[in-house]
Amino acid sequence: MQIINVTRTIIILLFGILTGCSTIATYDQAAYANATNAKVDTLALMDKATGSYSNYSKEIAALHLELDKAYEYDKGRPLNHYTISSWDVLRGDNGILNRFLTAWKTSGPQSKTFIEDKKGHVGREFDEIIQLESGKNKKPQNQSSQN
Amino acid sequence: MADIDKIIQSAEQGIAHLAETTFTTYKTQAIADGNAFLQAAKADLQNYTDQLEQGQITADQFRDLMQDEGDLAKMDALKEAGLAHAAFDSFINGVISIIITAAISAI
Repeated sequence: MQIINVTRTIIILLFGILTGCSTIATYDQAAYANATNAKVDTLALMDKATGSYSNYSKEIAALHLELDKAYEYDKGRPLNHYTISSWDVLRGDNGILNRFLTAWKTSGPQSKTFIEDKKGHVGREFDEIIQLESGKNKKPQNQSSQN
Repeated sequence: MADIDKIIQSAEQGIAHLAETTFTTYKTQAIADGNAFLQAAKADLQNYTDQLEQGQITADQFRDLMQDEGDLAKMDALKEAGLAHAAFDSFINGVISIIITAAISAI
């Protein structure tokens, strides 16, 4: 009887260890909120590009800060390299968003058509991050926050 | 309106030539990947070509928008890879659960 109990304990421990070994981070509500909020703020700021860049320098700096915070939050989560790489692409110096901001700064106000086109692309980039986060497995109630 | 089929045909020829001059072993796969990328970007290509033709965007803006397609493809690939990992984790945990249940009930 005692041997059976020991065996069961080992199996249960093994189960706990194995189910804790994930290959990707589990879903995180704060990360999801960071990405969705950043998307809304980014697209709203891009709408302002029909005006002068210098009039919105504070808002642009605030947006960069918001994106940096969202990135740093995700960077601190283990097994999260696909999301981190996605943020790297989105925030890249030569990425879609920063090339738009550079064009706005150097070439002046942008046309409504071009802004809408770029918003479509930037929105799709955010959607990829948001969809990846929402597609991650929900953490089981009894699992620790190791992922 | 720009003839999108003519543009696609011209691009496909360019992709085939680029693959042949760049790869030896992976030439066929490279052509397939290049054409898949082209098809994925087809709707945007049509839209931006029309806008360029109608003077709604400049040639520089057209180049910029087409350059975006590379980043969009990268982002999509990262998402798909991540979701595949999540599906794998879920499946393996299900398999382990089945094994554990089977083992315990057999003891």
